[in-house]
Amino acid sequence: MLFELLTAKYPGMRRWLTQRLCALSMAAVFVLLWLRMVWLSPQGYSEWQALFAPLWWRLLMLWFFACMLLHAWLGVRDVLRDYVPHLGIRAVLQWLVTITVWGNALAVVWILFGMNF
Amino acid sequence: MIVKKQKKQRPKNLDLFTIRLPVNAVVSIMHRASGVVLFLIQPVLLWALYLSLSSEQDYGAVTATLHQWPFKLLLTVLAAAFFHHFYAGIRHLAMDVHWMTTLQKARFSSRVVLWLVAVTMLFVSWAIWLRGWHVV
Repeated sequence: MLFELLTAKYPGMRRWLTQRLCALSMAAVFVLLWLRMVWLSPQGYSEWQALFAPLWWRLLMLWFFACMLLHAWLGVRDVLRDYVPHLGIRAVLQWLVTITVWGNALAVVWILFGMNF
Repeated sequence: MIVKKQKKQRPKNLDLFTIRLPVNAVVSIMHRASGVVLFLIQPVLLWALYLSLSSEQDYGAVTATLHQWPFKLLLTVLAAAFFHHFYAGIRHLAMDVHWMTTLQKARFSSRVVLWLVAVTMLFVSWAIWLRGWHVV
């Protein structure tokens, strides 16, 4: 039964679970990121840059942001479905949200992997 | 026809200022509102992160901006939104696996969420306003 709920027959169930799994892993990763940030307490530009230098740190951040964007996209989608009854306006807003999420995703990849550390 | 008439005569109350939400509803709607706020501010924060890492001058500009009081205020509000979303989200996850789902327990866990946010915000405000962004 549980696995049947996760097949393509029930896409809403999969979205629901995806959002929650993203939330869980974000919460765990956030604590990790925060602990290292406080532990190193970077002072000044070079130390701030050094914080982002390790590849594992940037991969962890990439994972965090991927979860965050997916979580936010699903969440805002639900909010629009609840509060914007007009289908045309909702479609436009949904389109704007999707573009914003993809723009943020590009920005994240560029920040983490497009710059020199 | 009779059913329709009865429906029309039913009292309606959509005056939001006379509706008092119970504490668990307050925590729930604030979870939603804070999520929307965090989504909307995301591009700005990513832009600030990009600037802070792109050059020493831009890093200086970002940190100087963060030490001005209107931005301190903005970041304090955003931190409140984040921590509310964080704690209330954990509460919702707990309810998804059927913990604390009776009315009494839901009210209790809502109060716990609000207290956790308050205590965390005391710490965050102390770090931002009194210690100038330094935690340790």
